[in-house]
Order: sequence, then C-alpha cells, then structure tokens
Amino acid sequence: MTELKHLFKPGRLGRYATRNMIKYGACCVSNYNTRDGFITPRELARVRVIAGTGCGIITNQGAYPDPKGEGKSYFRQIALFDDKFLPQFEMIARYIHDAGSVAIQQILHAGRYGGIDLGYCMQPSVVPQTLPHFRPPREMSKDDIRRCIGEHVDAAKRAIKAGFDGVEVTSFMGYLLASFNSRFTNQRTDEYGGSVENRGRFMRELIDGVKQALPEHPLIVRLNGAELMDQWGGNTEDECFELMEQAARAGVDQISVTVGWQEAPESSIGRDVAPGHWNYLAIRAKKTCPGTQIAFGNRLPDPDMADECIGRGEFDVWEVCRPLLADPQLIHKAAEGRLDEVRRCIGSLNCLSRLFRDLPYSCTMNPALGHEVEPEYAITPAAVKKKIMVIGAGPAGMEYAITAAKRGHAVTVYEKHDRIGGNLYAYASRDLARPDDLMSVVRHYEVMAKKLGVEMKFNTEANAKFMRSVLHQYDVCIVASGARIDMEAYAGIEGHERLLDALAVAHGRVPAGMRVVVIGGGKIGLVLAESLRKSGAEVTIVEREKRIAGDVMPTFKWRHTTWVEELGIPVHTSSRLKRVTAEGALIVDAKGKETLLPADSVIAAGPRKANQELFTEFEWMVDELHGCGDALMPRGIDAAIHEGYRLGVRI
Amino acid sequence: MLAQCQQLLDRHADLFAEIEESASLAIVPRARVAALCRPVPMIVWVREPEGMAARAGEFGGFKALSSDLLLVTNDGTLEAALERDEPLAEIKRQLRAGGMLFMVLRRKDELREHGWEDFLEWLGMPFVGSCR
Ligand SMILES: Cc1cc2nc3c(=O)[nH]c(=O)nc-3n(C[C@H](O)[C@H](O)[C@H](O)COP(=O)(O)O)c2cc1C
Ligand code: SF4
Repeated sequence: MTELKHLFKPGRLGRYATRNMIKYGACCVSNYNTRDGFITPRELARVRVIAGTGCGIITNQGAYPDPKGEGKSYFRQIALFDDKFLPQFEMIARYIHDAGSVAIQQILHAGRYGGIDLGYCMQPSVVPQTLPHFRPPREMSKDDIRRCIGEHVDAAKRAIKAGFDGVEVTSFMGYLLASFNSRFTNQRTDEYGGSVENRGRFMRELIDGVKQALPEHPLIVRLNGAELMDQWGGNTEDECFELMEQAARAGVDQISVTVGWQEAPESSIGRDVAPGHWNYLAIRAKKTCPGTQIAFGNRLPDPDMADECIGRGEFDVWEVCRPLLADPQLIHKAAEGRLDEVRRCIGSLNCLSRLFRDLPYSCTMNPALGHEVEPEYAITPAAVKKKIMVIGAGPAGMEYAITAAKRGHAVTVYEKHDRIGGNLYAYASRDLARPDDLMSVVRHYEVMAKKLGVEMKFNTEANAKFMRSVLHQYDVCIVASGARIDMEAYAGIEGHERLLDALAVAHGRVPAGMRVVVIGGGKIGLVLAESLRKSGAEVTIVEREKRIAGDVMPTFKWRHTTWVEELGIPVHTSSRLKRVTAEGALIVDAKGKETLLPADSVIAAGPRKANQELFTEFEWMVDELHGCGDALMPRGIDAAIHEGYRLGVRI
Repeated sequence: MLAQCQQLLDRHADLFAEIEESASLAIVPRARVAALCRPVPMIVWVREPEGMAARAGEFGGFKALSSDLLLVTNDGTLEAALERDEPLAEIKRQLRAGGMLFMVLRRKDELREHGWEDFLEWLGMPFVGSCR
C-alpha cells in the first residue's frame, strides 16, 4: 500500500476525472517518425509503454500545426495539419484511454527553433539567433499571426476528433508564443509588441481561439516561470508571472510551469541543478493564479518530494518527464512501495543530446526505450536456463547480471574489489554535479542483485588459475572487466615509473599530493582534477588535443570547461608529457616549447585500454564466452548499460 | 582597444587558424544594436592574409552587417575584459554571466565553412542546441 496519498488522490482536469495527480509531461519528441510528419509503428509501440505508466493525465508529444513546417523543430517531428495524420492519433488516444488516463495532445509551434527543413524561422521581430543550430528569423505579419491562430485551432479540433480529451499549447522555451511574450525577441511596435499586455496578446488570442472552438475540452498552456534570459534583455520573473496571469484570465484549465529557454546561458534541467531547485516558481504560480490548476515537475524526479509539495499546496499536479523515460514503471513502483527498485534518471541528457543531432532519442538508464516495437529487446523467460558467471561488477556486468537473472538464469558475479560499481563508483564519488545521481545507479544494482538472487563474489580476481578452479561449473562467461589507464603507453617516457594511475587515485587506493599535474583532459582526468582541486590541491591539466572534454557528452562539455575555469585549473592543450621528475612534469607543446610544471604527483588519466586479456585466456575453458561494455572498447556508462542489457536479453 | 584586441587575437592565433579570409566578427555595445541604424563605430575582428586583425568599422544595423557573428557587449564589459590577464577567458565568463551575447548571422554550416567552430566551442557555445 502506498503512503503517497497526495499524489495518488483522484483529481480533475476540466470536466474529466483523473485517477491521480500525476501527468506525463510532453516528453516524447522522439525523432522516431517519418520526415513528413507521419507517426510510425516504432512510435506507436513506444506510446503503448507511455500509456501504461499509470499517470492520470498523459500528454502526447508536440505536433507541429502548419503545412509549411515553420513550426517544425525536430527532424522527425509529428504533424497535425491535415486529417491524413489522424489514424495514428486515434490509436494513441485509444491506448491512453484504455489505460484509464486522460489524453492530451500537445501542439508545438517552435517559432524561433522551428523551420528545421526551411531556411528561416518565424519570429515577432528579426532578432538574430544566439545559437548556430537554429534558422535565421523572419518577422511575422499580422496576417501570419491570424493564419497561425487558425492553424492551431484546426490542429486542436483535429486532436479532439481523433479522440483526445484536450490540448496543450506551448508558450515556453523560446517557442513561438514565448518569443512573442519575451522582451528579448519581441521588438514590435504594433499591438503585439511593447508592453507585457501587448506582448501577451498573441498568446491570449490563440488561447481564446482554441477555447471558443472547443469550450468543452480542457486547454493547457505551458509557460515559463523563468526564461533565464533576463540578463540578455528577456523577461524578468515578474513579467513571466504577469503573462501567466494573462493566460489564467484567458481561461486555460491548467498551466504547466517550466523553466528556461534553449538559448539560456544557465542550466535548467541538467545534473548540476539540484532536485527541487525550481519549486519556488510553482509556488509563485499557485499564488499568482489561484483559480487555475498548476502542473509542475522540472527537475523534480522524486515521487516522495512531489507528494510532499502537493501536500503543502505548492502545486496541484506532478508533471513528470525524464524520470519516466528512465523507468516507465516508476509510478507503479511508487504505488506499491517499491521505490528502492526505481531506475532513476541520472540527468545525463543523452536523450536531448540525441534529438539535437537529429537522432532518435534514447535513454542511458533505459536501453529498451525506442525499441519497444522490437521483441528482441523485451525481457522474456530463457528457453534454456543456464549457469552464468560474470566477470566485473561495473554497470555493464551488473546490467547483464540482473537482466539474465530476470530471465531465469542462475547468475554469479565475480568482482576483483569489494563493492558493486566498478569505475563508476570512483567517478560518482568525485562528481561535482550531483554524486547522488550516479551513485543511484550503483544502489540500483545492489538492490536488484539482492532481490533477484544474483550471487556476488567480491575480492575475487578472475584469471586463468581461478578459471581452472571453476572449470565446468558454468555454461556461460561474460567478460565485463572494464577498462584501465594504459600505463604502458608511457613506457618510453623518462621517469614514467613516477606516474600515478588516475583510476587508482580516484578510487582512493593511491593518495595524490597537493601539487598535481593530470595528463589527459578527458572525462576521467577532468573529474579527478576538479575533485582534487575542490579539496584544496593545486592542479594543472595537460591535454594532447586542441580541446579538453573530447569524450564528454555534448550537453555536458560546457559544464566541465566552466568548472575548470571557475576552479582556476590551468590547462595546457596541444601538449604532451615529455619527462617526469621529482620536480614535476616536463611538457612540450605543438610548437616544441618545453615547460616544467612543478608537481609532487603526476597522474596519467589516459589513454584508456580495454581489459580484454580474459577473452584469450578463457577461450578454451567455457562453452560460451561473451563480452560487453568497456572491456570491448573504452567508452562510457551509456554503452556499458546498453550492451549489458542487449546481451542479457539475448543469451 | 584595437591594440588590446590585436594582442588577444595574436595570443590565441591557433583558435582562429581555420578562419577563411575576410570572414569577420563584429563587436558593438548593446545600446547601439538595432536591425538598421545610422552608422556607429564598431570593432571588427577580420581574417586577413597574415592572420586575424582588429580593425575599426561602422555598424549600420545587423541587417546590413556582412560579418558572420556579432558580439553584443553590455556597458564596459569589453573594456574590462581587455584589461584582464586572460581577456578571452573573461569574454567567455561574460557570455555565461549575461554581460555579453553572441548573435549568429550565418547558418551553422556556413559558420563551420568559414572556420569558426574552434573559437565558438572554446567559448562554450554549443554548435548544436543546448537543452541543459
Ligand atoms: C526527450 C525529451 C523530449 C521532450 N519533448 C517535449 C515535447 O514534445 N514537448 C514539450 O513541451 N516538452 C518536451 N520535453 C520537455 C519536458 O516535458 C520537461 O519539461 C523537461 O524534460 C523537464 O522535466 P523533467 O525534469 O521531469 O525531465 C522533452 C524532454 C525530453 C527529455
Ligand atoms: S537519457 Fe539521461 S537525462 Fe535523459 S531520461 Fe535517461 S537518464 Fe534521464
């Protein structure tokens, strides 16, 4: 039985009853669809999973409403400008209703970030882009505005015709309505520009248009509580709330409060933002618009926290997005008191990074996401139950182990050290953003290994001698032994025996001094350098390439470069180590200039090398031998988890 | 200021190594930025045969500007940055703090072709969208 009584109490949206106070936020621009806007079987299979999440309200991903595609912001975004798209929308509305939820269709005209297939985007005024990804703006005429309202109304009617209960329009993030609302992008001198009242006119007219056409159906608007663009001349928070009041007065049934623009110089939903950080915006929205339902959830991943917020009256509906990508069973686990089993969203932003590369979205924590249409990705009972040994308790080995155990195999994991997590543990404990996010992955494996009866054998080094001692006991061996720093790569360097191994330092097995040079500005070197600096050491980074953070996720590169600057860590790029002495590290740059960097510890943080030796050693010792994760090729957590899972569903 | 800009450009020559000849970046104070306006003074960082050069120019609005990029600066921020030991690092900090802003006047592929990628990435501007 659940104790989350506020989350799981019944509610209403307009004239529709909802079974709880949880909304699946439009979190599904997926890039799974056709280039011309048709919904594919891949998308439909994904939506079936979304429908089964247990949320009282489910929002289907934003569809663009215009035939030209000026509103289209993503490469394979769905469209709703014609009845020809309806059959698939009808199926989606049916899936959502069959699951007992209220179905909302979002209409997303991306404005400033739209026109992805065109050479321009539509804007209130011509204010150039601040990010190269987006198209140059064109000013909308009043006719364009009227046409655009008409297209929104038609798309809304079409959604209702398909069986949806209501619609949501987007006035946040720098999308079309938001750019009219904002002082930054709206420099018009007609009745759509100038005062906040005038800037909000387009939004009010659009809300009014949809309301008049569909008075019986709930209308939701997504609005910024903060644009985070105020330093650049955008709206202040006060102005954002004035606009919220306008939307409430115009008669919307729910306001979804969000944070940030694509162009904002600050993070809004990254790992460096603490959960609950933006709750104050929801609280203010509740006060500003007392008669309107307020939905909120940005960077609020925890059902317990959300329940408390609703209990305190901070907002009405918990609007969840990424936590349900990472674990579509989150709500059910919460309802059944199994929150310890949740796979938490770790804020890696792999999902959004991929969308902006025009790739289908995927999730670090949920390898099946986007593959729901493929039976090969489902966990099914194994036809032949096997005895399986896994070498290595890092994310690849553990993901494999719990997947195989779910299928009925008997799994034993052998780990050289005394805990689950492998190098992720060291990485997580030194992470400046939020160690708790990455540590949640380790905790998840600990809990699930116990619950699924995976046998854990710690402090056991797997080698040929060990393998002989367990000969014929296992049908399958999975090598998930990770990667190491390739210390042999420094063999030709004078003084190389003085070098410390970054992973040994990161795990706390070898101490570093107070004057440190880190060789390698990839993610291992950066995380270690930042944490050593934070604990008071003087740290310098040396990187061979022109830039640091080469192996860091695109959405997180800036975070590391900013930390490096904020922490005052000098960086020598295009430079390599020449000699290590008792005085420090002698490095040489691309022009041949030598510099001695004084240090008591010189730490090698790259290159990395896969721990592949076991593949040859075990070749004739076990029936099936497979590998996954960094043991195949050093990459990162994403590949480790995905490969572990893929192997787990197959063997 | 031109001399200080030139020092900055020389010091970071590697960041501008790929810039195509005559490609340029304009710098204008925020108060003077408009779509079209009567010409006001601006600074231009332009690629010349020998390398990047800091020159004086005239800004008649971003619609009339032939530069690839426009760096918009709040009052005094450029002057303050150029006084620092690491002026480009300070520009980067100001971009994050909102004291300066880039306006992008070319498409992504054009900027890439003109050789701006290294410089923009160094400044922390994501070439692709930045949902953070
Ligand atoms: C992969 C992905 C797709 C998204 N698609 C949409 C969308 O279609 N419409 C929308 O309004 N917001 C979309 N969002 C934003 C989310 O609805 C939400 O506001 C944001 O992720 C923050 O909430 P969270 O911290 O619960 O993830 C998307 C977010 C992600 C990660
Ligand atoms: S990819 Fe990362 S940020 Fe996105 S939902 Fe998955 S874990 Fe969360």
